[in-house]
Amino acid sequence: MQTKILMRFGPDTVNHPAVYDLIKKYDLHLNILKASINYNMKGELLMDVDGESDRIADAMKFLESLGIQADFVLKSIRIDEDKCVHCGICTSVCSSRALYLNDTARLCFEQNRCVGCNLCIRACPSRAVSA
Amino acid sequence: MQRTFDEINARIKAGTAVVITAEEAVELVRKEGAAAAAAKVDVVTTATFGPMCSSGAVLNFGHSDPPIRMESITLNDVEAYGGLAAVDTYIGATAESRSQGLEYGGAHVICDLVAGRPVRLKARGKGTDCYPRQEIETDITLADLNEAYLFNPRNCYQNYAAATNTSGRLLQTYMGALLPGMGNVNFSTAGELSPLLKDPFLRTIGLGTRIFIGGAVGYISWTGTQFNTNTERDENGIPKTPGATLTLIGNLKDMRPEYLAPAVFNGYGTSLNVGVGIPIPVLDEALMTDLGRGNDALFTNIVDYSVQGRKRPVIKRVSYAELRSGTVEINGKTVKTAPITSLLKAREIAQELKTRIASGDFLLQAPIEAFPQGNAVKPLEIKGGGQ
Repeated sequence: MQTKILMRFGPDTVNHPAVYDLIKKYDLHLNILKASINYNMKGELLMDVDGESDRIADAMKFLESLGIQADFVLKSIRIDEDKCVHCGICTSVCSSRALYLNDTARLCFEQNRCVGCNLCIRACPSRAVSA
Repeated sequence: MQRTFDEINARIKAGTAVVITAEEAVELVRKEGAAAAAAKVDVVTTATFGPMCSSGAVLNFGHSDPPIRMESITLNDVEAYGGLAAVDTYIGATAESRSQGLEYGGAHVICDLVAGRPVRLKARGKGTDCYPRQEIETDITLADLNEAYLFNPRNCYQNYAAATNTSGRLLQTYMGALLPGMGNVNFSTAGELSPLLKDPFLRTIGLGTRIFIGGAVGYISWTGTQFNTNTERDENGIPKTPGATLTLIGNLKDMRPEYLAPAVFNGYGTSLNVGVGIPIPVLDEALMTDLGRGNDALFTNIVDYSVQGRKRPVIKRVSYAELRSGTVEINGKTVKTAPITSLLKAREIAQELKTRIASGDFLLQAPIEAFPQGNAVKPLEIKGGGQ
């Protein structure tokens, strides 16, 4: 099965090579979409994950045992056309450029570029974006 | 070539006026030059649609029986001003709901009214011989109100600065989320469509100018607050830093939801997206030169919002063409840019105003009085042992 997983690391887990374990121990194919670590030593890792569904389930339990918060990113975003004013402010936080203004200044969304970070939801002043 | 307001209005009434949008004017001047363009065109429409926090509405509820003098007032749990007589109030766009915080504010109340939705009014008064009632709670709609007009003390900023953040932490501002380490640049002014960039010395924009506001016909009723015509200007006369502002008024009962929308900025609060269109008469070639100036010839500053003082340092001076392109170069780094105002809506407004003028149902009003030049903005100094 294919899915997306968002992992959140705290200062005590940020140094553990968890991705190595997911590949070697659980035979998962990983594609890292987004990775960040801040000055408080808190990190986030968003990945496309491909593998046997029972191995993915075991991997999730393993991550939990390490103290890493791991969640499936299930859905893409939706834009309420009645509320969207096409200001474009959401594009400033969309690092994958899934959200962009086209040549007529209309907001467009390319679902296959979306990495599911959901930053646009809180960034939208019109509250037009939902998960 | 010279034209007067009267001559232009006569042509509008006769249905022969030539009206184009500011974007079309840029194109025309580029192709044919300002003199030829001025000879052809009577009116150019400008527009903007963006968050304008210093906005609000004056409402009159009518008298209940027995009547009340409302001293503390809420509308859908958002506080409205209770210091006017009896049943008048002013609701500001940035007032936040007592129960929902910044997710619902004065801007939402105003837009709910415009959309025809009922709004819960709760008010208290001390009770007097002439106003015996002490409490009231009821639903109101826009149609129920005697008067309801938008009255915005500061709109349409001339050349607002763009924003970035050089600090290491995320800043949540009225310019949107500013990512750490200069992760983005957000900008507000509508560039070549923006009203006050197209008539930089306010030759045709003044007290009494008839405008499009929120879908209705409105007026410029005063200078805006923090009105600044004392800024340094570039070689084209465009203020280098935020300049003039306008106080706008318009009948809420004639407004439409597509041109008036609430906005919520996390960590900051509630604001109101106001759609404004201002027609500029082509009085002479000099004005057409101003009207024809494109995004590549209009510049603003990128300022650093991580400096929490009155004077924020300028990081770079950039053109609106650069801001519109999606990225700007700052010290060798490519930084993403994004608008916080809607170019799509601004274009719709410029187009709609053009249609209304061309069809003869929107005449131009010459300023009853010109706004002052050389007007500076004073800061607030802390005096008298305050802090």
